[in-house]
Formats: sequence, C-alpha cells, structure tokens
Amino acid sequence: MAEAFGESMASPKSPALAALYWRSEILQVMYWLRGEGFGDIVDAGLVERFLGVDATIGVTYLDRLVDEGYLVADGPFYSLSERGRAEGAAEFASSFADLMRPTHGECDADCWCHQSADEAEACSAARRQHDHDHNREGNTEGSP
Amino acid sequence: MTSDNQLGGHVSGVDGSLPRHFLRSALHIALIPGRSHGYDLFEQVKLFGLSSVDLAGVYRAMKSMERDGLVSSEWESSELGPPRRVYQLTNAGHIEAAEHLRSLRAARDLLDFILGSATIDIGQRAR
Repeated sequence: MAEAFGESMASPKSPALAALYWRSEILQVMYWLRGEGFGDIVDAGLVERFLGVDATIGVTYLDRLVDEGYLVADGPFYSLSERGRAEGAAEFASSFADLMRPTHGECDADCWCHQSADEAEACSAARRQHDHDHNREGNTEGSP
Repeated sequence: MTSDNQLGGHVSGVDGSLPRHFLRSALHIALIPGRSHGYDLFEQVKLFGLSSVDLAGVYRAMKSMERDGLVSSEWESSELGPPRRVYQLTNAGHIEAAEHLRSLRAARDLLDFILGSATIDIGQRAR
C-alpha cells in the first residue's frame, strides 16, 4: 500500500513499518501546523498537499490514527486528541528516526537492492565483503 | 481551523516567470542569515517574489532539503505555545546556497547582456 505514495517519499515496504512511518509523517505535519499557529484541525486534502500523497490513502491513515487514539474525527476534519498532543513532536520524531536508521552494514531505503533480485544479490555480496574486510582490519589492528 | 484558504490553494508554487526549482534556491538564500521557522521562510520567499507559493510547498521543500542533508531542523520549545520547527543550513547547505547565489548572479549577468543588446539594437533601428 505504501508504494502508492510515490517514489520521492521512500516509505518503508512492510505494512507495519509503513503504518509507523505515515503515522509519524501525518503527526509531524499536524505538530508543524500547530507550532506555526494554524491550530490542529486538518482534512484529507490538506494532509495530501503537505505530504504530497494521494488523499484517499491519506484518509486511510488518518482513520487509523483515530483508531489508535492519536486523532479525533469530526466529519471530514481531524484534530489531535489528548494522546496525540501528549505524544510530543520531538520524542515521536526522534524515536521514529532511530527506528528507521540503518544499522551497521544495512542498506537504506534508497538502495537499489530493493529494486531487483540481481541488485539484491550484488548488494548482499558487497556487504559480506565489507564485513569480511572490517573483521580483518579489526583482527590485524592489535597484531604486532 | 486550518483551511485551504489560510494556507494557499496552490499545490506547489512559483510564479510562472520563474523556474520551478527557484523555490529551493529562495529557501537556501533565506536561510543564509541563520535559523528560521517554517512560516517565516514562507513569508521570506514571498518577499523574494514567489507570491503564489503555498505553505505546503515550503513544508515539502524543507523536508526534501533535510533528506538531502542540506538543512537540519529541530523542535524548539516555547513557554508561549506549542513546539515550533526551526530550520538551519548544514555545511553542505551553505555550499549549496553559495552555488545558488552564483547561478543566480550568472543568470542576472546573462539577462543584463541580453537586455543590453536589445536596447542597443532598438536604438540603432530607431535612427
């Protein structure tokens, strides 16, 4: 489902991670607007413009945030719930950034290995070689 | 309430007479003096002549610049209201900003040359 948001956003592929990612993106827009003095009531069209995503899919995630207790729906409009406000923009953004950051030797979302099996195989081989070289460096550093 | 009218109705926006990526140049240049908030950047680029730019376009551009490592941002706490996002250029962003300035000056010089040539030509024909 997340692929429909467009290539430029580089959203995660798995549904669970994509849901976390878009929860963060939507809430960040709402925190951003609130911080700039525009209040915290949005509709799907507004979220679409800020995220550059399809409004229909945006609504899906907005409704999910209502189910999760972050937003309150009032007809076509959505506002931050007490829980949504309490979550705190800084904590939310930083925790998600940590979750998304590739660990040592991992590829990031822009890596070509996500595009084809050949690329994935080549990338995996390169990572194995990198780890191999890294381990050898580590072993030789202490040797006389 | 956050309505379409308050935030501008344009999906992305620069004036028709300016190149589409001019918004990014303008945002770089607006950040050269130092840290700034989203709405202040929006106001600044409008002062640069991008009168049809909308706040959503500025938000997306800043996210894009941050993904590219040209800008860093953080939530700035305030006792008067909710946290506000504040942006600043990274080292790479300052280099990019200098490049944007160089390109704009080159474009200005080219336009000056073209306009100067046209003025001379019109003057000669008028005689």
